[in-house]
Amino acid sequence: MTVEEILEMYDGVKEFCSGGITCTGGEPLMQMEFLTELFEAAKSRGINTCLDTSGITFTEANRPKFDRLMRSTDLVMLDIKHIDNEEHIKLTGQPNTNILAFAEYLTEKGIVTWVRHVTVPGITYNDEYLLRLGEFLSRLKMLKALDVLRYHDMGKVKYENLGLDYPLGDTPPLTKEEAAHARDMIMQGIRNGLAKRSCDGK
Amino acid sequence: MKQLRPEWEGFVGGHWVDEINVRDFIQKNYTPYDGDESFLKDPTEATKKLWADVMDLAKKEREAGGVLDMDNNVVSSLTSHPAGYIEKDLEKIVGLQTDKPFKRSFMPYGGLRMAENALEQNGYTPDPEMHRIFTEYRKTHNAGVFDVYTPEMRAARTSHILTGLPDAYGRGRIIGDYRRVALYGVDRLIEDKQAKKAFYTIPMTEEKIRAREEIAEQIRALENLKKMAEIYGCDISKPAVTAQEAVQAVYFGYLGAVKDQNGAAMSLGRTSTFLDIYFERDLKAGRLTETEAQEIIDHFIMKLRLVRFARTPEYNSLFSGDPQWVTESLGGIGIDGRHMVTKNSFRYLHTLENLGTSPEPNLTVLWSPRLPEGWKRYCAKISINTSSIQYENDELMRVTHGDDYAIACCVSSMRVGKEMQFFGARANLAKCLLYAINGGVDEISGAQVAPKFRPITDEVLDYDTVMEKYDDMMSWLAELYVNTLNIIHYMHDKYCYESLQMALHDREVKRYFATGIAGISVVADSLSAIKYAKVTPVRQDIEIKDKKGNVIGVAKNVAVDYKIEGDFPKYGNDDDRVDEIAQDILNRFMDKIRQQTIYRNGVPTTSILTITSNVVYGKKTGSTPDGRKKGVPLAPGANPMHGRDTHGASASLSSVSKLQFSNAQDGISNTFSIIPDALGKDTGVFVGDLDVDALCPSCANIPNTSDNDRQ
Repeated sequence: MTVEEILEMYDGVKEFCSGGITCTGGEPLMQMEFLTELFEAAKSRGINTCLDTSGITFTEANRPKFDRLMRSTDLVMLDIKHIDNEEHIKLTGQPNTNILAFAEYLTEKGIVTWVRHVTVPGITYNDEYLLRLGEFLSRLKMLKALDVLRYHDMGKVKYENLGLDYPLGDTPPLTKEEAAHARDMIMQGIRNGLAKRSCDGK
Repeated sequence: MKQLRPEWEGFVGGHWVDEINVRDFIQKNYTPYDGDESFLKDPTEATKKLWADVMDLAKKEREAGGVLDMDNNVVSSLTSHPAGYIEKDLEKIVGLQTDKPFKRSFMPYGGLRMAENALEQNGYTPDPEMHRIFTEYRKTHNAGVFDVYTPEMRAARTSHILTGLPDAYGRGRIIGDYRRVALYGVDRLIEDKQAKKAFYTIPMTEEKIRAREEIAEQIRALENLKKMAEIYGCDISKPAVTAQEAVQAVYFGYLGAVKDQNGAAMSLGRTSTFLDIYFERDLKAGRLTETEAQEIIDHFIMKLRLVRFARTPEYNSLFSGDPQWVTESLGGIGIDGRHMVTKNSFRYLHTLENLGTSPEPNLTVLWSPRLPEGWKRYCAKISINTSSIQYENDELMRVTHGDDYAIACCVSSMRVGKEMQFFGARANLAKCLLYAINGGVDEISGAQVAPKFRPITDEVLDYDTVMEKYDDMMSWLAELYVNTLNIIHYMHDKYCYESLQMALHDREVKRYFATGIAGISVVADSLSAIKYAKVTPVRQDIEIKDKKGNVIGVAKNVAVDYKIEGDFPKYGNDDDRVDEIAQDILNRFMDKIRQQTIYRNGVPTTSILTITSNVVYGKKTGSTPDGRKKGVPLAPGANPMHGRDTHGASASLSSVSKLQFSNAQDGISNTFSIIPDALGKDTGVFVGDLDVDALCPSCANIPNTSDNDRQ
């Protein structure tokens, strides 16, 4: 599929959606070059661009490529899976260092950032972790929204249909009340982080 | 300035004073409301008590298997029953279809068999005397239709290429302008009708004779409407004076209609802003409090929720439930640019909070981006909390119908009191395609239903050959369909005339002649498969059986299944290669409908609206060249076939939206479920408009700035 084809499709449906183009995944950064080409073409036509990513591919070494992509990116929705590195490795098989570095990079570049955090009972639904996540977020001046995503088990049936083991077993979905609590904890974490640093500063 | 009648004191005069013109009255007198819902009041004790009684009866009705009580020997009419109440002393708005709430009346004029089946299948016994009267002495609509149907029409009906035809039940889809009863009083309406009757003079052609007879029937209906009100101790011969009287008069008009007709959709119209004028007048004069105003509307809506008809299980399966379609249209924008939302529009929606959620009345918001913000927000809130509001595009319909139209049933738009519709069910275009392939032989029964055109005998289907034959078959179907409907509407007018509803219309009425099509996505995908993949029919002999199951013949080499090799573009993915086929089929079929001679100079329209009956149609349709198997439901309305729209919501919507509205003016439906989170963020969890700096306790001027302030 070409950039031109995608933008043509966008033209066909733009009456239904005022937002713009969001690239989501999988992991869109796995196709960095194409993504850059697409966003640049979209921007040149005045279309808003949004990247939904985990930021996992970000390294200091490929910073120039990111610099170029960010010039045509309006919004990044950043998915932080776990604030604790050990737990992040357990959960995803990868450390979270690149991801957190990418978050700070976004603030450095002045890119509007939304952080999305899937909250899973027994894994991330934990006051300590949520507060720590908030403290980390307090450093992101470009953070404009926080989206606590409730873990749901709608994928379970698909695993069953494919004859695969469902890795999260019988983990219950997160309730709305729990999600609100998680949101409050993260917000508290942000305030704690800000308070700490302003005290340190004085 | 001319002195207005005392009942109209405080109103601004205009054309409406000298002629029957409700729209002019509304435009001269209504007060747009730009505020929010904070003025609304909770239900009164009386409302709560009455609603508890209704809920109790509803529970009993469910426990009784869906029907609580039925008449078998009283023919429903405006004056057939003594007054009925829930609790007389508490009711601000009175009137029931029969003498008891939830008791279903006996309405045989549409068709005796349907009325008797409804009794039997719900455990009641038809009355032999009634049976004798309606077979020996009084003909019904259904009997009239079957006297005239041709063998071809019967065969098309049996094979279900035409389905759901209103030939055995009331057609509905007519909205009386019930507001006229309140504004003018019945005496003035009768005077007006008498004057209109005098318009038809010699020479007495068939048309004029019919017009004079119909107006005579209308006048009789209006006289009976007064009597019906008298049974409840009300006088509606004069204009309403108070808001309560106005609501009561509008309701009596509607009640008369549902005592007279068991129509497939008995919609209310557009009453809220009209009635608001009366509420505003009373509120200003200090004659009414907001609590009392809400109570009147609550009781009115409660009565609308009680509307019941005697229907058969088959009817209910065709319409998925027991719907009445008491549709009320709210809001919209006037042609002078003012929005038409009033406080009373809010009161109507507020009944969903005061009385709880309900599918009836079908509250329909005529949506425009220019509606006031407070109203939009309230609609959204009520939608989220009750899932009970329907929205329709005022921007689209206002162009055709102006600013005093309403929705009949779910989407049929018409100017109130000026336009009506002849409801026409559906033709199955998917089956029509199979007839094209099989030379008019039904793929399930083997019967020769359509003319004996030459069947396609090619081993692999060729697009151009199929299209040519399909076009011929659609010509046959359109002709047969319209002619069948001509008979139906002629007989309905003759034996089951909606005299009261038509009494609340102008003399000259625009009659939309509605048709409908089913299976458009199956047809589009089938033709696409034939064009872009390789489709090989699987042919078989079919034994033709009579009603008893005896074999009376064999249909040779009927294509009963299709082998498809290769992929093909599927409707629902914003792919013009197939979407254009869907558009083309609609445009062709509609033009073929337009070519026919139409009863009473009706204006033909079509709809793609099989919202529920697609399941029934699918059952009666053999395997199709798109890979859909025999008996599998067709997609509802203009929906893509289930699971074939693989490019997301926007692409799916885009395909459907390419269908030309001007060729399907009676509505195009696209049944679409979206999980709420996909439409917007949950404000209980999502934090938007964050400003990290402002959260810093020591940076902010005000200590302990709470994040709650910024949500």
